[in-house]
Amino acid sequence: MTERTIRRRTVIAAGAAGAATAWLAGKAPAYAQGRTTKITYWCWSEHARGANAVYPKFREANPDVEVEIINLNPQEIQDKILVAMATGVGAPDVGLIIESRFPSYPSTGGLADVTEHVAPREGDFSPRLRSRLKYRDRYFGLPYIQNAAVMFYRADYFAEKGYGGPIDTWPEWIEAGKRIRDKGRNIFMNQVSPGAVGFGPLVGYLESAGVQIFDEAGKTVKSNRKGAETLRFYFDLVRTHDISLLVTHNSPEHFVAIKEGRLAALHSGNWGLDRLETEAKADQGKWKVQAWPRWSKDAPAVTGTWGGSVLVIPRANRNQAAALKWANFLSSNVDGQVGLWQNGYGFPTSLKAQQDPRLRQPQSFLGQSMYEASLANREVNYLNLVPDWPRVQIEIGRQMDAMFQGQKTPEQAWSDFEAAMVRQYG
Amino acid sequence: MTVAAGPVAAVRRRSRGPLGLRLRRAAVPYLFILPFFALFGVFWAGPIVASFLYSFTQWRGISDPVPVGLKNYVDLLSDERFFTALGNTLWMAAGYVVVANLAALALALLLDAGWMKLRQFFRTAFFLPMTISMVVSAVIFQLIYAGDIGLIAKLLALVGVEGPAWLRDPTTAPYAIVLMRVWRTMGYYAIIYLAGLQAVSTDLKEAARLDGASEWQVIRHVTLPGIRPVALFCVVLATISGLEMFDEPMILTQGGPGDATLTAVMYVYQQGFQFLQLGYAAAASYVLTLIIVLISIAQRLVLGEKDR
Repeated sequence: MTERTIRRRTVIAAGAAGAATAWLAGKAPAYAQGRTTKITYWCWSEHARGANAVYPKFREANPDVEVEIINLNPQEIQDKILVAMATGVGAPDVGLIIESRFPSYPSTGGLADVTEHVAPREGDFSPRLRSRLKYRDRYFGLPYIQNAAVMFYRADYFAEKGYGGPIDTWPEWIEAGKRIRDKGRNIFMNQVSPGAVGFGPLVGYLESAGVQIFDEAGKTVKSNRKGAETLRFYFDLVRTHDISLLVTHNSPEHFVAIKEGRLAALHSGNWGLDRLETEAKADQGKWKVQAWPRWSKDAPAVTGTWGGSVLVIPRANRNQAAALKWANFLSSNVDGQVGLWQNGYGFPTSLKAQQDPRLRQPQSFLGQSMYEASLANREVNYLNLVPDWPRVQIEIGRQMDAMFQGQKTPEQAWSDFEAAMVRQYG
Repeated sequence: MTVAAGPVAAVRRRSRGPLGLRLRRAAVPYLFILPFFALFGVFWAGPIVASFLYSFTQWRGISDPVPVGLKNYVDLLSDERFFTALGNTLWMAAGYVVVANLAALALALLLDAGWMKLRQFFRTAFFLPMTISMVVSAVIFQLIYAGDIGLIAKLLALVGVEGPAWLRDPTTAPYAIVLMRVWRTMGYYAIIYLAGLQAVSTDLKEAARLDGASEWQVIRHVTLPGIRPVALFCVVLATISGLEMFDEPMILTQGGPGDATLTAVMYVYQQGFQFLQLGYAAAASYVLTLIIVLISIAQRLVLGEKDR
């Protein structure tokens, strides 16, 4: 009996000691254990390509950190990160969040405060981005890349109608569009997207026109004549001038239109080049890029955005040091930022990286430098964001659908949208 | 008496054994079913109870929920979009239940017909859409429904008709979604109907034929009444599935154009995961659950009435 008790005790003690050792070993920082720390990074398509391309450079400088780059659907990432933050399990070490969705996250308390890493380099990114990344004067995200709105165009279609190069203003664009639009060959000047998805492209028009939907305090701008006028312009491209194809962006229909050469121009963020390289491989050399048209000859050379993303580190994260190394590399390292441009066309937020000569190198698909042709000397305007941005997207999407269905005028659609925003945000 | 009671009591004592052993024996069956109930409690009952409690709170997922009493339910009553979503769901589900069941029954009757060749092949072929990934199906249907490049548009163009962009027109988009769902699930219901048809007594059918009944009369008066329980099962199943419609509208139209294809489950998803109003989303989901339960009970009462 005594012998049996001793044996049991020994076993229990040995088990407990083993478990404690394993627990302590797990708690110790990776470098103290003489092994690398493996972290996960959630991102999507062109960002995954960019991350994979710059990863070897990162590893050279950080042999103690291994990064597993996970390519997911962008919408899925936003929802999964939220759920992971809520449940405290399953979050990535570093995640990429669509910039417009970012304001919903800091207030949840689920993101790590990265002020001490971002504030010292405030001078290296646009002042407009600073306010976007802050919550109660603290940083909860790291600037990543921005997506300026640009116009890709088919130089061969333009040349057929006597247009040798970029078109400077919107009135000129409409005139050219009327000549280039070919009903027989089913060719449109460019595309316009309806629904909530259509808000992405509309943002470029609104921002370049200097429209704000919300003021800096997050309140709705009321009686927003400029907003209604811009929506009218968007509508007229399709219904009045009949130069733009109404097609849901990124739908199979849209890709077929690109592939079959039914679009003489493609409105996109600069990342659109990544899509063209995939969807219109056969038309390499025919596609060029130009800056976003100005509103008139004397209007400032500004553009808007289409997308943009922020790097975040969930608070419930045991690998914060390693996560910060990777996020900082992508956010502020010139090689990292330029690498993202070269492998996915994300325009650097780092001002130092924007000065790098590699940005001016031509892209083989276009046969020209996208930076010089479409981004240099263009100021980027931003909309003020509010939390729960999908609510804004869905509401304007509903109004745009009603507008394109002929149920409302653009002015009525804007007014109804504004009223819904006032109800929600004041 | 005393003499007789002695051995009986001894036998009883022996069969029971010591208390600890008896308890252990009594516990064994419960230990076997414990894993199921533990999992059921954690993954089914727990979330059901928790979400019901959350429906009385304002909760953004991470910060602590704030009790708000019945506010979420009261707000739902004045939420125009919720009623739009509910209305869309009800009529799309109704359309789906009718079309899917009729199509499945027709298919099952065909597969059950004596003259039918290659029965196994057709059974598999019609079931296949159920096994195809929803995303792949959605891409295929986007190309079928697309404006002027879509398959339907091209077929219509052959006869000089300009078809609409099915998914971009609020009138046609809900039908397009219902049809896609019917295509996906028809084979599944057909298999269930076929099993029911094969269980109908061939003697009864023979007897009806000998009495001079036509093939249609045999189906109408013998086969269909014989598969009533199977039909009830399929109708209830299709109703629940129809009321929970999410994948197709989410992938094909994101609820648009406007809110023409916004379903109740999509609405719950939007409120919960896009607007982070988890308490409100929980309240909406409970209203939807209540509606599903009421409809299922009504169907049972109406369709199951004659079985009693």
